[in-house]
Amino acid sequence: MKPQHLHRLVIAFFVLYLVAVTWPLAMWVSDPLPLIFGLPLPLAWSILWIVLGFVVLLVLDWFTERS
Amino acid sequence: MEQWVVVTSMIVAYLMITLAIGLRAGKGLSATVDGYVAGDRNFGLLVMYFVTGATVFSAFAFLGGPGWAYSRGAAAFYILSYGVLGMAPWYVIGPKVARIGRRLSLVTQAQLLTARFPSKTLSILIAVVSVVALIPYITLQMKGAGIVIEAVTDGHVPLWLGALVSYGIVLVYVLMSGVAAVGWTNTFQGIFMIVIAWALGLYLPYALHGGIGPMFAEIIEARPEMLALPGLTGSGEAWSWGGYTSAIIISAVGLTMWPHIFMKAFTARDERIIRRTVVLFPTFQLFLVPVFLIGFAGVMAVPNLEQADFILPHLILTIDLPLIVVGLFCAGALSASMSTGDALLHATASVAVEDGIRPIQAMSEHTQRWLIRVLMVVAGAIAYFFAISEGMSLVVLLLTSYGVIAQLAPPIVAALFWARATTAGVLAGLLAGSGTALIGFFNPALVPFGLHEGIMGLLVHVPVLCLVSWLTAPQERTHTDQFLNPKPLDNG
Repeated sequence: MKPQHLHRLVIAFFVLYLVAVTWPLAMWVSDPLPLIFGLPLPLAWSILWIVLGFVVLLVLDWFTERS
Repeated sequence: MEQWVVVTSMIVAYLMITLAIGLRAGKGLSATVDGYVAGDRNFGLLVMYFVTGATVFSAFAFLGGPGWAYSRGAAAFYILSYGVLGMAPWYVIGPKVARIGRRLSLVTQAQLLTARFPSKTLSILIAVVSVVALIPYITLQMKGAGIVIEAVTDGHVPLWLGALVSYGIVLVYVLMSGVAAVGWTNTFQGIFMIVIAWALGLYLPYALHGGIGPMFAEIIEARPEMLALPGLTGSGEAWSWGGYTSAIIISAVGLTMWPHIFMKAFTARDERIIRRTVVLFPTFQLFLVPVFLIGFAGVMAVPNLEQADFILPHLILTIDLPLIVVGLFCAGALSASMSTGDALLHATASVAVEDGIRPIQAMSEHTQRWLIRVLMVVAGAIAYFFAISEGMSLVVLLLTSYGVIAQLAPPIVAALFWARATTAGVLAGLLAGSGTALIGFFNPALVPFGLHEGIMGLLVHVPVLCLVSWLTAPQERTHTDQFLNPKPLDNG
């Protein structure tokens, strides 16, 4: 993959991240139920995006180091 | 032996270890401003990781995080959401800043901006904005340390004494070893904070509710509104989506613009270390999860605590924990406070000298280092005065500071990525944006949808910066190229 393409994908991901945790998309996960692994849905949602962010940054760094 | 004597002994032991690490860190550094302010640009991955993480997560996270979860419920999740969003752009910006800094011998944010946009006014303006924003931040850390020590010693060590001793020690090691002390003590304190936060965050829900799931089930049954986004305000009413969303955006924009965080780009050994620090940052961000669990553990167990920020010490002291756990908690909270406070003190004095005084008064390296030390003591004394004074609305001041600090983001982005930006444009944007943020703060009725006033500042700032830049003469291409396309470092 060309670095420019990867950078665009990463930027798109972080825009999606922002949209997912703010109004209006976050309204879809505003209800505390169901509990996910014992955690209320909004908390589990926030953690999920942190983990996804971590994975995307790892991939970005792997490609950056290779190039 | 009485409980408070044992706990005080543990606190003293912890402070002595921190002092020893801080003093040891300065050995081998060059006697230059580069050595004192940027650690001879020689921080490795381990230190950079903990410097970034422990500096971001302060006493506010360790005491305020549980406090927010306890009193405002899901509103606290905004703190969880902005960290990675705020840090991710640093993957690109950080290495670029480091590269330019090394080539042009820069050690502060304002030096970078004034290298691209030559203006003494800009340098002094940034120095004033930074210092005004940093002092309440230091005060919060000092107050946090004093509160914890007073609480766990049953008032035998009052707030004024706890804050004085803990920050006296911070001053000693930062005065002696500069940013190197910040780096190594933060590494020690960062490890401490993480271990304590996870241990208490997992233990307290089990001790009080039989587990994390049962704890949340209890809260949902009794107070479902607490766990629904966007959570509650400080007075218990529903928070607005505008407030929640703009808190995430302004905090993400402002996160790396705080001088004590931004300046660490100048301390890294090479660019790869900065990138790796950003990649690993989400693992530090997850430290907030147990912090919130602690706060939620108190919702049903302690229904009417007056001061929400005291929920963690309150739980620690009321559920009959072994003394060693109380002492370790105290050390963890002090770690959170001191690991941010030392970086703040160092940054405040460095910025005041390098950006506020040096542009109008030439001085030798020796004088600069000496003056930074003197101003560190002055900044500490001012913050200490506020910390022991009653009735200061510091959290409000800090939130306002965030709105003003975020105004440094457009000039930084313009300096690094936009050739057409001009000095006049940046100055006009900064004045317009900061002014709008302050007007919005003092006149909340003018800010629609409960938005953070800093967002209003940015909405004015960016168009003014662009418009005035387009209306004024562009900079030479050879000049802008140094910032837009800096040559890579030999070892980067």
